[in-house]
Amino acid sequence: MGFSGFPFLLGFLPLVLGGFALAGRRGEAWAKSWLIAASLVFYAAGAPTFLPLLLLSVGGNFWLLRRMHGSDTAARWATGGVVVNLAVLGWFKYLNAEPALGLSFFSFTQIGCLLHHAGGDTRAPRMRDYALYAAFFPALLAGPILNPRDMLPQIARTEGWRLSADNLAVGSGFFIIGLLKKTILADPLSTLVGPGFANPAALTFFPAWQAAMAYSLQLYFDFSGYTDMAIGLAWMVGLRFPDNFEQPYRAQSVIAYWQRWHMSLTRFLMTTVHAPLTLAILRWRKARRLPIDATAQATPAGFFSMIGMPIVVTMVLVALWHGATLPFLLFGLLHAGFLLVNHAWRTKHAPALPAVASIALTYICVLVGSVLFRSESVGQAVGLLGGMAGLHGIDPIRTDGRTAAALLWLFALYAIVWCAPTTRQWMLSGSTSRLVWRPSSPWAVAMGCAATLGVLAAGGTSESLYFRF
Amino acid sequence: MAAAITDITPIFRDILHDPDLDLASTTRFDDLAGWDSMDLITVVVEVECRFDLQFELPEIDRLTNIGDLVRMIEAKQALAAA
Repeated sequence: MGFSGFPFLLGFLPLVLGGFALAGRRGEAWAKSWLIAASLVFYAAGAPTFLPLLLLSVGGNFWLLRRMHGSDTAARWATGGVVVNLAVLGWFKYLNAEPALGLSFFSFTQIGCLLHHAGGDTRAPRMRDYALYAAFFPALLAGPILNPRDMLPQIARTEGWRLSADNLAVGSGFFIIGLLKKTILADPLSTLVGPGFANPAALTFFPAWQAAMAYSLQLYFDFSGYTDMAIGLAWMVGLRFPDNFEQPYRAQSVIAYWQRWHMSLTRFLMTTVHAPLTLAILRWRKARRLPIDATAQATPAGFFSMIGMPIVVTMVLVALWHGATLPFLLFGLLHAGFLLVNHAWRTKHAPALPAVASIALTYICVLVGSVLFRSESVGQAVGLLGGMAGLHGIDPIRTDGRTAAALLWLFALYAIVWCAPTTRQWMLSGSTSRLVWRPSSPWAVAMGCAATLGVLAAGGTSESLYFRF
Repeated sequence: MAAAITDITPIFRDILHDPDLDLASTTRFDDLAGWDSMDLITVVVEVECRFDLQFELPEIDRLTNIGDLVRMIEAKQALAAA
């Protein structure tokens, strides 16, 4: 059940909010229990076969957390738990005929919690709180991957489990903007993306660029729209989710891009893979009296061991997280290569390019990567990239109305990507500008119109592109 | 705290190639010019060697400014001395 489908918008969401308002009057326990029940119904509606897996995963990880508290062997229990979670994830993601919906996201959220409690000195959350943390429906299918340090204290609080006008107003704003991004901006692009990627060998220069650019925009507006909706849903019931996007296509380097794209996954892998690996390598070098300073990092051997290896390992894992296919692996290795060049550039203190050139160069790198990301085979990716390189010829741009409309549409979307504020800036900046949202009658009318537009544009049961991960 | 900041300042100056760098307990790592996550790990390993301590990853994850780092060094030194 996608957030932009009619069953969710016209059935599930009003019912959940109405029930939350009633449950909240009876107290914290009722409100949380209602949200947990709603989350299980939400999951069962999309993947009834895997509901037992979700219940087992949440129950098993909670049992581990209880077992770890106060234990001298908490770290070992945590390691065992991580291995079991990854084994289950690996089985259902790569070996099972039908992948389990949302498993990557709720597994990583729970692995993060196990590692957070690995010291054994942090008390395990209460069962109801943990179930809500691990299975809360807005983040269940496509994230953001929740950080236990931010979320558990919010969920553990006993006050504020009431439907409030403030939370409803701001949460609705996030949700409506996300809905518009998904239904008005992202979904229509499939008419440009699908045909382009279906027969890439036939695409000449301009159509190939159009297909690649349309896909990069579709992916951004789809996923960031979905995240805005998730943030809005959580906000409505008083919970604050982390951001997942910070204007990634405005990044001036590939390093910055990964700090601004799917931020919750980047943060998770940086803290669970990249940082431990880098720390181990630096300690290993220090124990052997090898230098670890910036000068040592600039030598070929130092660069490879201290910077290169952790990046390559992390990016291969990013690739495998998305899927065990050759295009995904090449996508990860390509981005590892971009990051290494970026780090080498920094290490050598090479001069920075002008901002516009940096943004353009970074975006082209990301665009090439997105072709691999979307392709089902290496041949498909090579075909499209060959078209973009002009290997299939360069026809003049067509002047028919349909082409002109497509180009205008892409131009408008790039204007939004590069010039518009983020949803958070727009909703929460507190600016006195009339163009920035505030809780007022004119804005209520505007948001009502926008919501109507979003619902009318909704495709019935349209799902997010990231559900398949 | 002032003495400990004096002790760790050379580590930061060396890593950031800034011989004139001055630190205060409120200085946020993210506000230091050219700072990235690699620098934090390098600083931590240098501090571990300099003070003969060991940091856990969740502890490193909680560090946001110079004051956090100094307090953690002091806490670990106190624990080792007890």
